[in-house]
Amino acid sequence: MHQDTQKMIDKVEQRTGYKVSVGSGSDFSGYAQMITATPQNPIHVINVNQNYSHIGDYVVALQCAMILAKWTDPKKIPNFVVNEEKANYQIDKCANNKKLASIPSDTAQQFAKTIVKGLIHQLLSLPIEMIAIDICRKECPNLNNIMKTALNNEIQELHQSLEPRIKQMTPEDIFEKNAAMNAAFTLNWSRISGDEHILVPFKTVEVLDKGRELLKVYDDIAKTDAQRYTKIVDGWADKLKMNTLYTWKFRDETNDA
Amino acid sequence: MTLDPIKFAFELSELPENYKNLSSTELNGAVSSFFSKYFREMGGEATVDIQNDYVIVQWFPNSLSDTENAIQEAIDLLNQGKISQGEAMLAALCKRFPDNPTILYNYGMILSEKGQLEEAIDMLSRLTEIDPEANRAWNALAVAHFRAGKRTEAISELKKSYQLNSEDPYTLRNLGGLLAKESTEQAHPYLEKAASLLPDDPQAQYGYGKCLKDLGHYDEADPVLKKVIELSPYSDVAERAKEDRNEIASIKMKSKAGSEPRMDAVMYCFAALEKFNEMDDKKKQAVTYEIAMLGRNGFDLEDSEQKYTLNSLPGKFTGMQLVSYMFVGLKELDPNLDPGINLEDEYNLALEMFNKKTYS
Repeated sequence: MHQDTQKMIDKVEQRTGYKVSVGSGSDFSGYAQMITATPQNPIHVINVNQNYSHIGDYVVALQCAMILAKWTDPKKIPNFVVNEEKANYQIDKCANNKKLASIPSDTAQQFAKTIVKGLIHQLLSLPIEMIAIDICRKECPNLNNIMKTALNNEIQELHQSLEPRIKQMTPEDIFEKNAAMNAAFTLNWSRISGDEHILVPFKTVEVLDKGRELLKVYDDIAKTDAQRYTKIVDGWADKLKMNTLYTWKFRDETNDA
Repeated sequence: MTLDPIKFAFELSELPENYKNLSSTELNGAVSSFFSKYFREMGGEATVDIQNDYVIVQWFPNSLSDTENAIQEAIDLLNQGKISQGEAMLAALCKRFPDNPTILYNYGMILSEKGQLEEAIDMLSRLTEIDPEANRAWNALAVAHFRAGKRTEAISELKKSYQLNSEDPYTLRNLGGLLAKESTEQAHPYLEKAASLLPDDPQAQYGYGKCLKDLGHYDEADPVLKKVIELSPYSDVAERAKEDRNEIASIKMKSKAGSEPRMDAVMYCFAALEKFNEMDDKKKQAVTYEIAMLGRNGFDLEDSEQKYTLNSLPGKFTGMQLVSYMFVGLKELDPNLDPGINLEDEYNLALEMFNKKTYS
C-alpha cells in the first residue's frame, strides 16, 4: 500500500476512533464500496472494485477523505436519508414522461427508477467527492498521477451520460439536472488540471452555466465550515429543486460511542 | 512508389475525448485533419471519410517501411491501453498482410483476450506454422486453447514452448499453473523458476505460493503469499492469497496442538462465552463484525503478544484470542456462517465448561 494511502487510513482511525479494513471485490459497481463505521458496525470497511485495482491506492485514499469530510464534527455526522415517498413520485412522473411512451410500462418504470435514484445519488456523492479530491490533493501529493488517471476515467464516464442516445430517452428535467451536477464536477477538475477539453461535451449540451452556478455554491462555502458537505448538497438541491427528495439525519458519535 | 491502400475502420466512439460531441460539420474537419496527420506521420498519404458511426481511413503507404511503422503504431496503441484503436489497425493490416508474424501474434492475442477464441486459435495456429521456432507463439496458442477449454492441447503446446525456450517466464508460469491442477509436485519446479524470473508478477508469485502451500511447505508458502498481497493489494489474486494465508495459519495452529484441542483457544472461547453472556445481540454483533473485518488480512496466531485492540471491547488481545471470540460470536449469532478457522473442539469443550459453571 502506498504510504500516502496509509497516512489517510491513519488519519481516519485517529479522527474517528474506528479502524479501517481494506479489501477488494468484484460484485459491485463504481470504484469502491464503503461502509462507514457506527457503534453497531464499529469498523470502516472499504472494498476496492477489482476492475480498478490499478488505481486502488487512490480509491482508498479518496474513500478515507470522504470519511474525514463527513467526520468534521463528531457530534453531527450527517446521514443522507432519501425521502422515498417523494422519490417514488418523481419515478412515476418520469415513467409517464412522453419520452418513455414508446417502451413497455414495466421497463419504463424500471428505467425511471434507475435514473431518478441515479440523480439522487449524484447529489449525494459528487459534492463529497469534490471535497475529498481537495483533501487528497493536499494530503496525498504522491498520488497525483493515479488521481489524474482516475478522474480522467470518471469524466469520460460522465461524458457518456451526455450522449445523444441518452439525451433522447431521458426526460429533459432529469437530463439537465444530472448534466449540471456533472458539469460542476468537471469544471472543478478542469480548473485543477488545466484541461479545458473535458468541458467541450458540456458546452455542446449547454449546461456549463448551470454547472458554474453549482460550482459557485461549492466555492462559497468556507473550507473550514464543519458542515461544508451538507451545506453544499443543500445549496445544489436548492438550485436544482431537489430539496424535498431527502433529509439529513445527524448522529452524535460522542454520545453513541 | 505507392503500395496498395489499406482501409481502416475506426469507431467514432473511440475518438479522443475532445473530438466527441462536436457538431457534424466541425467533426468532419477535425477528424479528417486528425487522421490525415496521424497517418502521414507513419509515411504515405491518407484519405478520410466519415460514414455513420465509423471513420474510414484509406492509407497509401509509400514503402514497406511505412507498413512496419503502421504495425509498430498499432502495437504502441495497444501498449497505451487504446485497445479498440490498436485492434482496428491490426484488423486492417491483417487483411492485407495475413502472414505477418507480428500482426498474427498481436491480433491473435487481442482476439484471445476478447474471447473470440476460434478466430484467435486460427490466427495463432497459422503463426506456429509460419514461425514454428517462436516459443511465444506456442505460448499464446496454448492460452487460447486453455480459454477454449482444450486443456490437453494447451499443455502440449506449452511443453513445445518450453522445449524451445526453457527460460521464458510466462511459459513456465502457464505450464506450471496447468500442471498444478493434476500434480503439484510436477508443477513445482516450473512455478519456482517462474516466480524467480518474475519477482513482481502477482500471478507468478501466487502460483508458486499456492503450490508450496499445497505441498505442505507452509513456512515457505506464507511469505510468498504475503508478497502477492503487497504486490497487488486490491486484486482477486490478493484476496485468494489472504484466504490461503488464513488457511495456513489455521493448519499450523492445529498441527501444533496435535490431535488435542488447543488449551489457550479453549480458555479464550470460555472467556468469550462469559463475555457474550453479558451482552445483547447488538453488542455481540458489533464485536464479532469488528473482529471479522479486522481479520480480513489475517491475524498472527503464533504470537502470544496482546497487540490487537478493538473499538467495541476494551483491552488488548492476541490474535488467537480474537479468532476465538469471533468463532464464539458467529456460533451464537449465525452458526451457518463460515468462520474460516476450525475451533469446533475447543468451542465444544469451552461450552461444556461454561454450561457446568453456569447451570450447576
